[in-house]
Amino acid sequence: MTDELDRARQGDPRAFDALARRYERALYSHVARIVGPGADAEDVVQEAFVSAWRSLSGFEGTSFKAWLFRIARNRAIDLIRAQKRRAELPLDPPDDDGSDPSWAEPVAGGPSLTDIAAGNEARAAVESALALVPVEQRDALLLRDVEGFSYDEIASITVSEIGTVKSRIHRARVAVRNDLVAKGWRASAG
Amino acid sequence: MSGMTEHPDLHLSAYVDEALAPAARAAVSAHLDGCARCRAQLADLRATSRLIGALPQLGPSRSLVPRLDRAPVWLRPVRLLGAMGSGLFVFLFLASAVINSGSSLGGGTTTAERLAEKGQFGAAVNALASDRAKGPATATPAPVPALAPAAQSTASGSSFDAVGRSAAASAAPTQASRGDAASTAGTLPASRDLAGQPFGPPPQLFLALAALSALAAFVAHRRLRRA
Repeated sequence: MTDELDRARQGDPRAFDALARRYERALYSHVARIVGPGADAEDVVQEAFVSAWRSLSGFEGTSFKAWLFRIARNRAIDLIRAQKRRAELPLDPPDDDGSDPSWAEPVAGGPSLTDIAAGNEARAAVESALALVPVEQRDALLLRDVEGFSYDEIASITVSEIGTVKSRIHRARVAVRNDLVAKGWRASAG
Repeated sequence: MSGMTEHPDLHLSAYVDEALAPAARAAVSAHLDGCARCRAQLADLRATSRLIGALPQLGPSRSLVPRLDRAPVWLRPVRLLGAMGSGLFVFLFLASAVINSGSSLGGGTTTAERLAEKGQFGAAVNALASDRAKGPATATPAPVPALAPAAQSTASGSSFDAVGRSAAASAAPTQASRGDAASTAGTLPASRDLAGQPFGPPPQLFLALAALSALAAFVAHRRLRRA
């Protein structure tokens, strides 16, 4: 990978091609959960690759994957903002207003959150719960839980303070949990 | 979180993710030991994290990796022009070869000249006399097949043979005398210039240009296929 990265930085298009193919699906998957699956997400990823190729010589970070994700998610957020401006929709609520996110009380019945397997039903429920989470919180949560980035890396990717990252991840996770509980999933016994 | 009398709600996710500093982590751990509510919330957050982490990757409908080693835009015109140029130069080569070979066969000289060049001086005089008898308007170069009767008359030993040798002797050897003979006949060779050289560039030049054009088209084609 380091060898490929070095060759790509020296202008070898085949080395960059190999690197890009390694992260293509992960990037698309992340962007698709930000802007929605389809042509917009595909365009964002493709433009991110082109942008990365053009500015690769200036890359001096340690994680190529984090750098790629930073470029792609920035484009995705820009697209969301442009769409919201056109539709005159409000932007996301503030990330850290100092208050704790509300914790929904569980209802009786339904499978336990800790027991359910990641079957199709659970996947669909989680996807729809994620879609309701504000974009930047969702972005941080996906970078952590799906891609496995550290909080420091997420702070670098999203150009945020580490405290903001912690807050976004926690709020997003609580929001998903609350939505699942509201749909009948049973929370853990207290 | 101070003194762990308050619930460390905002730190629970970071605790799940092992993103707390050692001191903060120890404080949250101590609180969890005595707080069932926070333990339940921690379990839910951990379960939610696992569910999100188990989501499958979404796949694009097409390849999103740009073709960075794409051939330059000028390669397609080069391929097209190379192919067209190759055909054009082959045509020019063939046309030039036909014209020059026609010239060398005598297509542009008079019958008298051609016979004189072949040493058939008697027949040349006969042909010259015949051209004069026809007059300037009809003294056009004779086609190649017309040589046959004149040649036959030479072979049979014409009475003009002796005269012909002396008359053609001054016409045959030099270019200047040929020019005189042509002007006497009232015409100039069609495919030769005044110095008697083949008209236009040599055919080999067209052949070389055709080969170069074909090579350029081939190289451009290979490069385009590889991209």
